[in-house]
Amino acid sequence: MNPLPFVAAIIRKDWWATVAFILFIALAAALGVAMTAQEKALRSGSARAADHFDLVVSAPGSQTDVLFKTVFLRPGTVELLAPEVTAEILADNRAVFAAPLGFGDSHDGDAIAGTTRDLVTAISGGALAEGRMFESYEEAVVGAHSPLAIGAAFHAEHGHGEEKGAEGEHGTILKVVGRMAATGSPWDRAIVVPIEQMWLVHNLPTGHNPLGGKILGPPFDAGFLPGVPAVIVKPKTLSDAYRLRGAYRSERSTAFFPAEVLLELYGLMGDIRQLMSLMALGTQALVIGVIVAGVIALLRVHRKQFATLRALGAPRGYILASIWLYVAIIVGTGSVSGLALGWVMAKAVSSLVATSTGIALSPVIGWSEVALVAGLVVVGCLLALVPAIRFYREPIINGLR
Amino acid sequence: MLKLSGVSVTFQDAMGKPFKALEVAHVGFEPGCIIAVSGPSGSGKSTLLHVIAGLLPPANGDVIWQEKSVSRLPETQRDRWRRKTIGYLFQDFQLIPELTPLGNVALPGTFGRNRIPKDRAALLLTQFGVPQSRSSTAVLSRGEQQRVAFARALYFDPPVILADEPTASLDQANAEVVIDHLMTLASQGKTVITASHDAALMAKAKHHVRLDRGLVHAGMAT
Repeated sequence: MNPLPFVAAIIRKDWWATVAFILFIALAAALGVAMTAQEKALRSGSARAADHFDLVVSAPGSQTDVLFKTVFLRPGTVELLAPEVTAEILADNRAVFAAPLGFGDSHDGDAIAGTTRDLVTAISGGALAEGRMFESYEEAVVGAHSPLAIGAAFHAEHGHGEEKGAEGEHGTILKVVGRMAATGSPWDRAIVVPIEQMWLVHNLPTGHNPLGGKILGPPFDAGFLPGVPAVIVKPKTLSDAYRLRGAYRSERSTAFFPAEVLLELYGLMGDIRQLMSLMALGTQALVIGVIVAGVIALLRVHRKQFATLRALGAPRGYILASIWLYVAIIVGTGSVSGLALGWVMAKAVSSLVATSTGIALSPVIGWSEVALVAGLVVVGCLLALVPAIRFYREPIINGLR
Repeated sequence: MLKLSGVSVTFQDAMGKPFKALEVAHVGFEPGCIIAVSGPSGSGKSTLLHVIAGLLPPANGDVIWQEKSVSRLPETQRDRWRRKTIGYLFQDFQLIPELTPLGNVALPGTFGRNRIPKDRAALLLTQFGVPQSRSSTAVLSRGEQQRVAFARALYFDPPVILADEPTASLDQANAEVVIDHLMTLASQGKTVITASHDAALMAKAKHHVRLDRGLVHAGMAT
């Protein structure tokens, strides 16, 4: 039995309806695929962005808030870590380095962060991609995708994002001297200046005795340290990492691994994703249900043809197989197209997310998306039996009258 | 030989009231000739052909082929019997315009496993003088469409041909060609049963079965 030639004839006759059915299914499948692929890309992208931030120490409060402000450079303010705690952690010998991190200024919408050379080197993967590290208060290093070229001079502006006030620009002219390697994180568009410069323009002590001149980087002088939004710590060993986290989880500070906060967020996202996946599958099943009803209405026009085939000797099974195959082709083609369309949609959304957040997202079609589409195909193939059985059971004579 | 014995078919009218659409005490159909089924519209001519083809199981009685009741066969076997035994010609041809002439003739070959040579459809089309190069049967003349329908009906080389008003929608020249084809088939030993109002076709029939409101008034003796 080979119902393909007959099914091809049905498709040729009702090609517009067939294409419309396929498009509906493709769109329904694409939404589900795009959603799951996007969620996975967001996970891996955010995890990659947090890779170089081993331990974050900040003032007590929301760790998620601090994570977004430090790792993802989202605009906003956080409570400052007390100067004495800052001094304590900057001097802690269990760390390879402890880098104070300040932020809040910007240039042309891109965040300006103040920190030490150690953190810049770490974020850049061990070495700069271009130019050299800042050697004075007025020098800056930019992220891989910053529009500022090496040698460019610029003014820092007060505030970042919605926090940006009307104070205007700082007076100091800064010069770009180096460019970091790409990280796939918001740091790719950031401008990094020495933390001392950031403190200086905000009329704060610079971390060093002013009598010693414009000293850059550690060691800092505890007597001249202001409070900081956060300190990024690279522990010497894994056990040091846990000891440091324990030591700075107190009434005066909090310490956390970015990964643990992200895991909590992923857990929440996972629950939402599960719910949305179920809703997507439900929607897809509904779409297929509506299409099955449409197919029944459409195929009523072919009743006489089915009866003719029976009169020519086709068994009932041939009619069942033809209609099932027709619907299965619609569902299969729609689902596979939906997989491709979903990937395109996920890429488009990723591009938008990357533009607004700086997090590089690479959505990929994996087993979960294939499984989602396979589930849709299975449901569709089962529902395809409804019109198939409907016409299978129809007495031949009804179509011949 | 094909026979009908004690066959009756009951339908319901628009009000749901049952009425006898066909009642046949005994009719036999001799092979090797044309048997014409005649009667006014609604007299049961098409119903008789449907019953013979096993498309409409009778409420009572039997359709007998080679001394075996076809009516009592399970549906799957009846389908197989129909495929091997009956060639059906429809008044409006019932071709599939989305298929080529060759695709239409070869379509019965896709119904199940069979031993029909692959070039059977092409040979039949050549025999009936229909060009194979056409992309669709919709572009063929009505006469050519009827010839494609003929070729399709003969795909399995069935011994019985049922033709429902085969000349009704054709002009005289094409109708004469169809009558010639039916005569040829009859001369090959096939049982050709045709429901028709066409006087020219009726004149070629060796036997006549007249129907009036489902009742067979004259049947051929067997």
